[in-house]
Amino acid sequence: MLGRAVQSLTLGICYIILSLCIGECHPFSREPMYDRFPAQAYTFYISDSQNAVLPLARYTYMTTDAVTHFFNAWRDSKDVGNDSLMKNERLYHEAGIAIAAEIRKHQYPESPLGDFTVHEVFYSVQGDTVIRIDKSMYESSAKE
Amino acid sequence: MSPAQKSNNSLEWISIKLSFVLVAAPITCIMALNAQGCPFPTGICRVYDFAPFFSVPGSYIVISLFLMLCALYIAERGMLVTTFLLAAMSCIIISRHESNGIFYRATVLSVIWIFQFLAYLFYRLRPGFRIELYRIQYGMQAIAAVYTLAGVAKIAASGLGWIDAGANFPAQIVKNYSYLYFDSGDIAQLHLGYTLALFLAHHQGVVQCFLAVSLFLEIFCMAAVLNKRVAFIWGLGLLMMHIGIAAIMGIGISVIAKPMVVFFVNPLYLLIRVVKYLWRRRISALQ
Repeated sequence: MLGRAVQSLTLGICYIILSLCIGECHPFSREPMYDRFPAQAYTFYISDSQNAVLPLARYTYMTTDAVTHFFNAWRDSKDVGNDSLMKNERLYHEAGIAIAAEIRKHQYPESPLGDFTVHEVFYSVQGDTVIRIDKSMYESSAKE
Repeated sequence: MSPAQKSNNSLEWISIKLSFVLVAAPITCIMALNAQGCPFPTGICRVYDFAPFFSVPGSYIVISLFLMLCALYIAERGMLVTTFLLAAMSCIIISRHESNGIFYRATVLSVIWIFQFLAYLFYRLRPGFRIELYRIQYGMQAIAAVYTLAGVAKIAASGLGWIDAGANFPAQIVKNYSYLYFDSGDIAQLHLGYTLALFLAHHQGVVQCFLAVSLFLEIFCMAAVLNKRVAFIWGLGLLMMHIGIAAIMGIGISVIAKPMVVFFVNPLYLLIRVVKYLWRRRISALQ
């Protein structure tokens, strides 16, 4: 009975094995979404000179989760982990430049972005408190 | 198989095809339109970046071709070639889109097209191959394999301790609601995220229960494919899981949920059957 079950699932089993061996190379994937819950969650936002949040949807056709995905892909392409990136000021600044360029690439022509600052923000929960840490990454000029 | 059963199968298959095209075509077209660059090549784009396909006229040609193939697929025309081309185009479009570093987690769409192509290939190679059964079952296998991989990834990265996420899970919730805030500027979204996160930080049993059920549904999804009734119930369970994730974590229903509902639950087919049943009852009542 088990043999018959395995036989009728052969294709799916082969795909699972190939995906585990090959990793992230479409159409194969290990599907690593939410496979771990680190103590700190991070994302990015942009602000104006008064430090007010500039809503991405108003200025661009890029969403905040897409910015986070872009950052992850950029970091992976440099073959560095989050911790080592944070410790390397030059590389961290470069990441900010790359994020700013990507955001500007996606801005609506009718509502161009002026100067803005790229921030990375970290969230963690301790007891009754949500702890938020902001880190300025890069100041992008409209002339860029 | 009786002619009545064959007709039912055909109706079931048409319902799946129509629903799957309605699910897959819009997101594939959106990805084709948003795949201008290729800064982080992945998949087939590591070999060739397909830049002409995603230029301004190129992407419209690609989309038109993809939609034409979808029409042929629904009409059951030249299925071996049609499903092969749909699989190839899906791989190219999604690889190119993912090469921007932005993930829609749409891998499952290509896998379904590939598995359906394989069903028609085996049918061509082996005359006794039960295509009416496997063109659906292979699609279900594709979806179940992706869920199982997601479950395996969690166990591999975090072990069974994944279920005991503690205060780290609420941190993810705040992050997801902050996405909504940073996108819209609506601070109420962030406050909602804080409230939900702190509530769940104090009710970790709820989180553990939710994560345990989710992990179980993912890990054993392949087994559900063995029996259509189990697959139907499993499909409803997975749908509840996706709705729960969307509600708690403030994210949309993920791409995989839609084809899963199509292949595991097949709501269009159910609807047609209910309408037919009610129609027959009405006719017999009139007689």
